[in-house]
Amino acid sequence: MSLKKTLPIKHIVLSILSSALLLSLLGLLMQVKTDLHKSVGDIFLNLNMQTATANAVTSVVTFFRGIDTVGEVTVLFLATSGVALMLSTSQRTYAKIIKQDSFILNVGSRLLLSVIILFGAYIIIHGHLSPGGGFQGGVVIATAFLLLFLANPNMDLNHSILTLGESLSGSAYVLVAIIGLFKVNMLLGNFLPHPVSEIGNLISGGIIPVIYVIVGIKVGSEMAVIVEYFVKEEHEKEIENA
Amino acid sequence: MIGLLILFTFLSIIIVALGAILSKDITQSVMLFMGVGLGSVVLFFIFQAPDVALTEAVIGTGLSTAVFLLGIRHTSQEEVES
Repeated sequence: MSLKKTLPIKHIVLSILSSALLLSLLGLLMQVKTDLHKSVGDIFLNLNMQTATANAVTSVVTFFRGIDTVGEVTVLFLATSGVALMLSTSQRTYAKIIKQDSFILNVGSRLLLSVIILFGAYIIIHGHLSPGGGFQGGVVIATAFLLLFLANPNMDLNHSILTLGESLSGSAYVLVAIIGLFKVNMLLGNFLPHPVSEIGNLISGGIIPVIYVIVGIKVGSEMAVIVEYFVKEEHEKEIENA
Repeated sequence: MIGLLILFTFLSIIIVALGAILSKDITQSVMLFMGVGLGSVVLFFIFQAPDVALTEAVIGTGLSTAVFLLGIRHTSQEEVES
């Protein structure tokens, strides 16, 4: 009876459930087979010749399941709008922080900025050849801006250029999708030439690199705006407390 | 060998996640949460999903940790130590 008091029934059930989960996980790990000929991945790999991209994941993300990417971009746009609504309630002018930054910090962050942006552009442009793509490359570019803001708080982004890039890329994505609808009778259809013999080249895969560049610009500008709102809000707080 | 590595990564992810939950210091908790993301990167790479691994490395361990830390620094001034 004392055992029942010290060990409540909830804990016993929870421990039994978790051990069963662990055992089933171990069982799954033990029976990983090498011949998975009937999986979804193989079907997509066989279909990959249609899009002629070296990276098979890219063809799934932008072509076979392109509508999911549209939803992803929409979710990101809504998140950016929410952050902008929440963190910029009024038209405030940010007070300058009177703080002497170190020379090494300034120069080092600017040097690193160019290298990180170059790496992000590489990931975006080579999205159809190697792992990565528009989303990942865009976030890499946004982290470059995060570094810039952390090193130099008085930095100001040109919001008109960012908004212009974001809306232009959003419209271009919809435009590409609708051109595909008219030319190939399919939303997000691959209307540019994409011969299989060109597979592995930088210019190959039809509209897939185009879509990735568009998505990269959109994600990069949106993430940069989010990061700027977070960093600036914090500095606002510091000035109020000082 | 690969199975052992997978098992080790799984166990370390579980341990780090428990540490993130049980930790009293919220900054330490965020750092341990970044460890969870790091373990997932290794797992995704072993299971031959380099695209997902890249996404997790950039977002899970890079940007989200930075945003969490900025949020903590932003809110902790009103927090009372107890």
